[in-house]
Amino acid sequence: MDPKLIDGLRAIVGPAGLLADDVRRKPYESDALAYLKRIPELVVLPRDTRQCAAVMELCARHRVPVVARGAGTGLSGGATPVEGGIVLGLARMRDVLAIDPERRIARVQAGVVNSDLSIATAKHGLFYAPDPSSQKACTLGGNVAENSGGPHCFRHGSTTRHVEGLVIVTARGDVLDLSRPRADPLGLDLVGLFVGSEGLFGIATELTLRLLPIPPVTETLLAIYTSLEAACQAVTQVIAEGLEPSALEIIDKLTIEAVEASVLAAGYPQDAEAVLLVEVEGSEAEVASQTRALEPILRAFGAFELRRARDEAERARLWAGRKGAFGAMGRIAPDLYVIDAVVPRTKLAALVRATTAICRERRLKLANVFHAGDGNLHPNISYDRRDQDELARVIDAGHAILRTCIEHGGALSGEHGIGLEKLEAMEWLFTQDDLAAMCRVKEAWDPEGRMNPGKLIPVHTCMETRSALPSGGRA
Amino acid sequence: MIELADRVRGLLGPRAVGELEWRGRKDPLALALPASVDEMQVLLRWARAEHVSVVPVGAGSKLGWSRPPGPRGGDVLALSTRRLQRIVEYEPGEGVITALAGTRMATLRDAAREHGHWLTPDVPAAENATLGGVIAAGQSGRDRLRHGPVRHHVLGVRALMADATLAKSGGRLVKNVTGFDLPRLFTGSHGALCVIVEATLRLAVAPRVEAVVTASARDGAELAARARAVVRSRARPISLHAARLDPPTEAAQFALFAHLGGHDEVVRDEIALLRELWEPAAVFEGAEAVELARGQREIDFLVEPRPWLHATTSPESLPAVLGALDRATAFLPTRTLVEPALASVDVQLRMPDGEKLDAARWIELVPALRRELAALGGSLTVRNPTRKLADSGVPWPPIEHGGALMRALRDRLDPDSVFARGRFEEDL
Ligand SMILES: Cc1cc2nc3c(=O)[nH]c(=O)nc-3n(C[C@H](O)[C@H](O)[C@H](O)COP(=O)(O)OP(=O)(O)OC[C@H]3O[C@@H](n4cnc5c(N)ncnc54)[C@H](O)[C@@H]3O)c2cc1C
Repeated sequence: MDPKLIDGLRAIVGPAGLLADDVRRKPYESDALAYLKRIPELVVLPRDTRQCAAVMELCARHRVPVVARGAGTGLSGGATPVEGGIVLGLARMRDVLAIDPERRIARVQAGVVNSDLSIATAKHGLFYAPDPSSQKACTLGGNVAENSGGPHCFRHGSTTRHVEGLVIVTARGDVLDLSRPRADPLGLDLVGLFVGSEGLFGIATELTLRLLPIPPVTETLLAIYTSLEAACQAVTQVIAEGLEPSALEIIDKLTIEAVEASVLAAGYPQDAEAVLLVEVEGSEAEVASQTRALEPILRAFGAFELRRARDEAERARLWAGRKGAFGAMGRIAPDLYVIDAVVPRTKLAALVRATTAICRERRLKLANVFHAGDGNLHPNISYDRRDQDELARVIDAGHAILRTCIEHGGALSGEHGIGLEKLEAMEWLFTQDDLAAMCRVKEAWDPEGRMNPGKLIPVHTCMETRSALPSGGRA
Repeated sequence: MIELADRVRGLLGPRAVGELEWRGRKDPLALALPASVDEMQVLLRWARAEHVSVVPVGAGSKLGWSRPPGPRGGDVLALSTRRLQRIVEYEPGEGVITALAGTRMATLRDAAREHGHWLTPDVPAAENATLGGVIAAGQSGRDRLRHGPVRHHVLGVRALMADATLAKSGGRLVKNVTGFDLPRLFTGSHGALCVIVEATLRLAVAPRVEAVVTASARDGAELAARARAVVRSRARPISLHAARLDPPTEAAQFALFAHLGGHDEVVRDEIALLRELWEPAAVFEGAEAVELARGQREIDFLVEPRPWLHATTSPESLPAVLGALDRATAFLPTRTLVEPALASVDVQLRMPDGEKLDAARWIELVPALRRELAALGGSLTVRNPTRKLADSGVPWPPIEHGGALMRALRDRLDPDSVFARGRFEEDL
């Protein structure tokens, strides 16, 4: 890397904001998709929008690629470093800038950790709804870049529905201030377009986020099933009947065993094939009427037991088990491949069956814990990455599962994004024309292709788009 | 114009040609009415080759919500999606509906209703409004209080791009992050980027029971306070709005309406709560409530092509903004609708019979009013302006931030300017 660039960056962020030696760059070699790694040339950690803009401007001058990174909990290789590029980390941008309880919005720096926001707003009776299981580590900026979800997004929607404004530093280092919340965007909806752009458009440095009032009453139910398919069918029926719980999560037997054997033991019954974790929230009347309507459906599909969390402590335990499930799987094997796919909610049972068969054929250990209400499957395959043959089978199973989901009207990701992991699969779902439109949008933000290059859209489709431009790719 | 119509006729046959009156433009536009996506592709290719600018339209009811297509040079052809009418897929258990862009919102609403779903956005004049037009105009319904704006519900889009290719983005799934969120980009893009030919909307659950609670408010301050009390409470109304009484009385300037819906016991609980908060309040239930809510949704001026001011602000400054609008429009009769929870105000300008809007006066008035509102944190547009007013450019606020990027998006997606420019700002 050009020493002049390094000196320039150091002058902007100070010595503490620049990681150049091997030992300190090493932790940035991958995100949570651990099988893809590359040690970055340099890690730069600005403190605020101004520094971030100066860093980006300098990188533009030196034509250096930039990979944004929040906490590195991403599961699709979005923050995997790229050749010749720097990693721009937002970890030092952790200030909650303002909370406006009257308008129910918060302004934060992008590096604020998801759960810290709800902690900061609790005294106003407000919370931030999107709650990825990684919420104690992942950053809100990372959530915006991935359009992350979480159990309670079943009712409240993924991150995009909660972003009211953004400050974005562009590839060239310009500051685009779209932070003022408005009922409707003025002109094109750049904020909405940015959410889910996986670091390919620019760097979000400040976020204006919508807060919700903490519901007066919350009821958490655990429905216990002797078959995973029955639990899926119950979910399909709950949705068909128009009930509106706030979360509908399925946890299967293998996951239950792992959780119960861990420090997060939640009290899930170990004789169950699957449990369905259901939460209902709202006013007393709302919770009472929803719960009353839910119970017979949950039982009709064979729930042999229906537990109700008695108090806040039990509820917290049930959720800690669910949210810690991926981590708990570490007990089963050294590595876990978390697959993320979405399918029509009417086809949950069929796809869970297909997934099981795919893994069985490849002699792989499959566990399921997923956002059933949204049709968002997470088949989790435990493996040992040192076993090359097993790793190959895991990746092959992942492909087979995605293809099956596509065949049933599903898509590649409900919340973890495409990144590097599913790059090739984009062509299974989208035509060249579909991808060309995406390439053009990317080029408008980042004409030189320096923002997180090689992720999300297969590169060759963009090159074809360029040569198809009437100007011959000049612009 | 005649020539343009003839050439479209030559391409697509006699049934595929019409004329479109565009409020704010001098002459009607030639209108192409292709019967299929294939025909649209033929037309777009031809338009590109012949340097004809195309303005995609649905039924044409919201054309006055953004600037008329570029005043500068060249032929402009309107291309309507209204013959593309069909529900492509509606699996009630899934909670999403997919239809061709020309499908009327009422058709979708009725289909959804039959299976216990509520179509959001709940727009007025749904018999006329098309799915594609509503999305392209970014039109939310009054039900956005509960369900959120339309841009939150467009799950997938198939769109014809300027090069006549068909691009799909999003899908028919309630949760999906596969690829960039182009449905968000296209929602509210006013035909500047593509022709939406098919879209998928997320449906909400239809309320089992509905009720409307009404009360009055003395002035803007009381209106804001009463609305705030509801928004802060446990109630989750479908919508909450106020209309200025005509004529106002000493005791009441506004009538407030809260549309409630849900399970029986929830609605009962919310009625009791609103009675308390709004004392004295009147309650309508059953068919009466449904009819009242419908009547309020269909308030004529949201449907009529008359000019109106659309202001948005923050809840704190709502009374001040109402005051400013009042003062500015005191010289003519108006009708005012307020959505207090969203802090938006619509003021229809009602010319006495036979009188015309005095454009010169408005050309001065709008920027001044806009400055006043800006100081209060608000903004202002004029919808359905008259031609003179439209020509002046003042009805639409300048884009403060991101204009360069919007232009870049446009230039990339439509390098040959197949779609008419100027819908947001000159050249954009
Ligand atoms: C145990 C575990 C559980 C998880 N559970 C969930 C879950 O329930 N739901 C869910 O949706 N995800 C989940 N994830 C995935 C992950 O936590 C989310 O994708 C999260 O949003 C990533 O945030 P991050 O700060 O770690 O981002 P990173 O991993 O650092 O980055 C993710 C992507 O965003 C880009 N990026 C980061 N910050 C910015 C920025 N400020 N501006 C522009 N681009 C940026 C990066 O370039 C990269 O492409 C889980 C992950 C783990 C390890």
